[in-house]
Amino acid sequence: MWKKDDPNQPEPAAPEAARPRPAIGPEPAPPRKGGERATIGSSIIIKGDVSGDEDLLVEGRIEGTIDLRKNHVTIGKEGKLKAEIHGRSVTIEGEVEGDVHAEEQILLRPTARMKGNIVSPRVTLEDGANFKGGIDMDVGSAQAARAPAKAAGWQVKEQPAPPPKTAGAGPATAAQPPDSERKG
Amino acid sequence: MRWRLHRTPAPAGTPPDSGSDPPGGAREESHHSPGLKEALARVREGRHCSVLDLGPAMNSTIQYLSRFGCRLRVVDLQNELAGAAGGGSQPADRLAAAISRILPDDLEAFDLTLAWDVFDHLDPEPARVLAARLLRLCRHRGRLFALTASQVEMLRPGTAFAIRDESTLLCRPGAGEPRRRRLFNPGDFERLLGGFRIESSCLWRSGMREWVAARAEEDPA
Repeated sequence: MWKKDDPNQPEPAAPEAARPRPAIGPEPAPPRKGGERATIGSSIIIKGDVSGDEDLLVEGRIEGTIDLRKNHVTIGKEGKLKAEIHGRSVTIEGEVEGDVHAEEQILLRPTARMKGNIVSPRVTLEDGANFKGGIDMDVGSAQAARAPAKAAGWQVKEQPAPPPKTAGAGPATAAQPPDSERKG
Repeated sequence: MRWRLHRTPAPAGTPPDSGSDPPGGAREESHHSPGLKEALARVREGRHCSVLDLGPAMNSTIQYLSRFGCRLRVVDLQNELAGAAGGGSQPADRLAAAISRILPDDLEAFDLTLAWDVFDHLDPEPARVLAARLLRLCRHRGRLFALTASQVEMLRPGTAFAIRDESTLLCRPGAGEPRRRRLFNPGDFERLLGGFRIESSCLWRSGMREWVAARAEEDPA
């Protein structure tokens, strides 16, 4: 059903001066891996880092980071994040406060409320989406420097530094969501 | 100083672009903008420019600028001021302070500022503060694109503008009642942008006047 991404597919060439990039379609093609997608349900609250190797749908709350650079991340309508998000592509339907990085594209649906910086070569803002912050579509610099937004003073709101991870006292780290939350 | 003063030719009747920013109830208008190409010249060189947009985030503008790998900073100033300073009922000094806070000194400089019609909705003192702030945020060879109304009926808060292409702007009229009843005449506005050199000024058929300005220091002394 879902087409697996071709790892041999060449990366788009860095933008050349005076050569505009082609127009961008409004609909992203979310990459999937084997049809798997984890779901963080609406009653789940995570404070810490989320990482893994499958697509993710967030309907709950996350404070921290999401690092799924090879996967598609969807922030559902019920999702509320104060987090830095790294994904291959990211779709936002809920609320996000923080920076979002996507190697391919970022889509803000009409219900999206976002405050922060976007770093992605392709950004689509559907009508009704609320966005405040910076958009860096300079692919070259985005790949060269992982945090260009902060370096250039684009930070909208400083995320609180994560407390030290000490056993028993640190924030919960959810490398994978609980099995009960997974969708097949 | 060199600046043109002329009326735009009759619009070609371009239909609204169905692929950009459907209005959600408000009718979207398309306007030919003779000065936009000039304002976008640096962006179109593909130098990965930084652009400051003082209106609400609009997909059409994002799509256009994405072709050139730009960095776009969106600061919906009217909305921000309404939230930060309680809207139009606040004294001018509070609005001026809010402008300084919303556009702080440590914000990076920009190659192009899309000010749209924000000056039309500010009293003189906040407008002066904003003009000074935008001058500080303007890079060498940077440009400022602004619009001013020539009729009071055109002072509609919440009007959103977007770039469709290098010579066409999209306009989604706001539904709010005008707070101010004062119009800029061209001389007043030119004085307001005192640190800029007016490169072109053009009256649209609709009654809006567009302005393209650059940092005055660009003048070969």
